[in-house]
Amino acid sequence: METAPQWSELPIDILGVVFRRLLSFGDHVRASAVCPQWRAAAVGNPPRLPLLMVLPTAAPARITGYVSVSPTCWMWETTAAQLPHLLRLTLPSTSGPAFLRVFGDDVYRLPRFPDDALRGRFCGSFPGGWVTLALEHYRGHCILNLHTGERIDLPDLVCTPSPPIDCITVIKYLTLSSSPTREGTFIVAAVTSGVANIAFWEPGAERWCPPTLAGLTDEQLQRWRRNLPRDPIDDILYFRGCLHEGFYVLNGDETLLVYVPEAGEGSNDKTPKFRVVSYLFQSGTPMTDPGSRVKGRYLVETRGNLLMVRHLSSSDGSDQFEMFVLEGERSVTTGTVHAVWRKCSILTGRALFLGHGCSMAVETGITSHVVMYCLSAGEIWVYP
Amino acid sequence: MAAPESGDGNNGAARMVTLISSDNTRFEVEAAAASLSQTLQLTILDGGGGGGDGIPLPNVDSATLSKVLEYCIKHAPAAANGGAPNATAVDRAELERFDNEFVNIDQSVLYSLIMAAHNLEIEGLQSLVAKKVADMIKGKSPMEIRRTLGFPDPTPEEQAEMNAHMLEYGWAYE
Repeated sequence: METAPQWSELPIDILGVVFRRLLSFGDHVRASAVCPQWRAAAVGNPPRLPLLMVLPTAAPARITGYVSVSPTCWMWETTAAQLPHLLRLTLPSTSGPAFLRVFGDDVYRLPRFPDDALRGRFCGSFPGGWVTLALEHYRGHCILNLHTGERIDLPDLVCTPSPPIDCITVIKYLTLSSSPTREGTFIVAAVTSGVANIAFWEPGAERWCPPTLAGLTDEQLQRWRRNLPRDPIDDILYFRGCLHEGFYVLNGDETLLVYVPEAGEGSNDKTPKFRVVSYLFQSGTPMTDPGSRVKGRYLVETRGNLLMVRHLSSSDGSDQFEMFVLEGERSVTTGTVHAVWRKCSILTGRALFLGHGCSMAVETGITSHVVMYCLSAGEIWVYP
Repeated sequence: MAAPESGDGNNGAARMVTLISSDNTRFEVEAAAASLSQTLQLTILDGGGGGGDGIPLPNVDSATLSKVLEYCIKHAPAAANGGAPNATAVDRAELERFDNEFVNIDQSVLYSLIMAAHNLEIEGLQSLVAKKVADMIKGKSPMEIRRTLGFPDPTPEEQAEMNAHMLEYGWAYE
């Protein structure tokens, strides 16, 4: 006779494979309540939570506490962030209903965080423990992996579009097309403050270059360079949309410019080539509270959709967020797409972590909705 | 059942090995399929399993083994291509369809499968079943998870622990 399966006695390493498949931490917590064996597996396989990394130089007085997620994973609360109840998240201990929770006012350093980076300025982050930063204020740009210590140096010089002159400009934030690999098949985009507001780099190139557009005549290029967007860019994200895959740039007027990487034919120069597509929005997206002021705009991907988040300071001074989904993309002419920002009220089951060049939506598995943001240059979300 | 002296298949015939389940049923399969198991691969490389010997698998019953081999036979060609970089989209879609159908089974069979995949070190199968189990857990309360997977009713102590957990992590139960 066949014995009934003993799910409660499933070996911990098998349960670990199951727990690593539970991406939302609500599911993680609920599954850890099933029985002691499952709880042990949950402790050993914590959900991958973003960390708010705060440099000691970034006004440590604002740090009010930290939460231990696992021995190598910490979350900080800062006075600036809206403190959601999620920050209370800790993992259950193996010994029944006693729970591991550590609070204090100390600033912990992540393992493998190099000393020379401590005075640096963060420019962005990417899943897999990658952060981008400038070691000195406007120099020494690099991509750093906090798990492995691997470092990829980026140039400081930016070539201006026209006339082409190498100069040092402030790189405000950086974003990557994909995880850095040794084969070097990734592109880095930099939002700069300068004549052009965007520049690109790929491994092997000696400097940052303004977007080089594929398939245009000299005259068209000249015209394009005159028209290069010079308004401050609000945010940038590499996104696989239904029409285009590339760097989505959010302008101050809430239109999008999409830089679609094109394979360079036969050319040996390490300059990424792009096709550029302008996304226009016919109907404006008015603010619910006309007295509010926009403090920042962010692009973030969630469940395959592109989201624009407005961070508002309302007339009574409180922080509010409005969210819009990119929808109805329709190609009208070459290089122009019409689309709609559809307002969405609440994103159930997700927590939004917002920061320029480091935004992400994380599945929570609970119905409430959480927005966290970081504002100072000394703070950044890190995705393990 | 196994042909004697089948050996290393001259004439281009694929080399066969014999596996023997815990209830003494013999299964003859291509070595390439059985080699999806890291455990079996070592034995097979050493020349085991051929001829009349067979490889005994005392932890795996015949019902489970036939299911495991169904998976291995389906996945062997792709595995032989080294993760199949040149596989067509159609091939990949077909494998995906097979996988989805394959784990659409009762939880007791899933349990035997994930144990067997673990013992035999078949990474793809273990990962496939783990994903299915994770999907079955998602969005459920601890009691619902227990019911779904056929746990016995909780003892009073277990119930008290679950209640304490729920008090502590109330937000996860909204």
